[in-house]
Amino acid sequence: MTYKRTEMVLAGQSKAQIEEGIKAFAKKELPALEPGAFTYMMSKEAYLTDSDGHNMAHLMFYTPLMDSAVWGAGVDKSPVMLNPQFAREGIDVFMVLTGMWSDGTLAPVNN
Amino acid sequence: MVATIMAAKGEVVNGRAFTAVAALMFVVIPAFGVALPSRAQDDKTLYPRMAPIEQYMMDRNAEIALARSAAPEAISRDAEVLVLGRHGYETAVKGKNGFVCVVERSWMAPFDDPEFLNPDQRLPLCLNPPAARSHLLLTFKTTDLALAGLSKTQMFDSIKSAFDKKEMPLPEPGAMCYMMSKQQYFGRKYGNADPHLMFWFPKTDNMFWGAGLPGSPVYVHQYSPEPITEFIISVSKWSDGTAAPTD
Repeated sequence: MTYKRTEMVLAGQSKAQIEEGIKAFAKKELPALEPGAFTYMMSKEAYLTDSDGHNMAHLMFYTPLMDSAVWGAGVDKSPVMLNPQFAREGIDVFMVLTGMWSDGTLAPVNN
Repeated sequence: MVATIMAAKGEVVNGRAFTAVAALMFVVIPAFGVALPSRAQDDKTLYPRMAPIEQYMMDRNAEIALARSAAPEAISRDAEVLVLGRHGYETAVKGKNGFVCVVERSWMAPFDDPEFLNPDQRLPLCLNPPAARSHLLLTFKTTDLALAGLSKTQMFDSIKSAFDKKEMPLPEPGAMCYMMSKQQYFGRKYGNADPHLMFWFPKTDNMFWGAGLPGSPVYVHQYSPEPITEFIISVSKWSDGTAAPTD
């Protein structure tokens, strides 16, 4: 997904073209999600959003699309959030806040 | 029990207690049945047999509250709540969201854990629906064996046999639980430990997750004899939203 999206962006495609391209890619070429697929996102230097804070230390777990309530995501005081960024690819991303950057220093956690 | 827990809290010097638990599990579990570290050998006779059942029991309302404290209220208020009876777990509160909150006892600790059968240990957790359909059956099975007065060896053999015969289910995809109670008590050595989430998988040797490495919030525990791998993710807040120790 990372390669495909990057390739289309660098090719100068429009947002609509990228969305269509991703849909087709997800249907035909994207390999099946492996159980336990996950990533670390604990860099203090990351810039995730223009919103306040810009960044958040977390882990991301990739699952097939499911009801976010199954993981208790997005409710008050839960460290789990559902990120819908790959919904078009048929993948849910559950984010778990770690409260710590990769260098071991404390990260803000605002539920 | 509250007094016991509070007294034990005083023994917790910092939030690395859970790290120590996980590290100990990581070292000890693969060694089960081969050779235990000397410290475990020294400690393993601390609780050689079940204490009288009363020592594992709790006031019903206190147990319900403790079970619910494992997860944020937004999850636990609609969860089913189980309490320990003399013959096993009973439903105290029916749920609406598929989560099940329960206070596990020390017979759910690894068999070679020095705190195994410690009557003071209280391990509240709220299991999500896939875990409630699969992993919770292990809690029921192990509890039945403990309450029946079986020895540790008999319990180990019975559980191994149940998995070998496929009478016990493996964790369903997405099985996980919340373990974020400020009142959780792992025993006199590790106290309240850290708030964390746990994810269960059928036993895997090829899923690394960076567990146990310096600075990683991820720990791994290979069950034995159960063919289950548990990943533990430390989080920074208790279920009530207050900050957990961080040093």
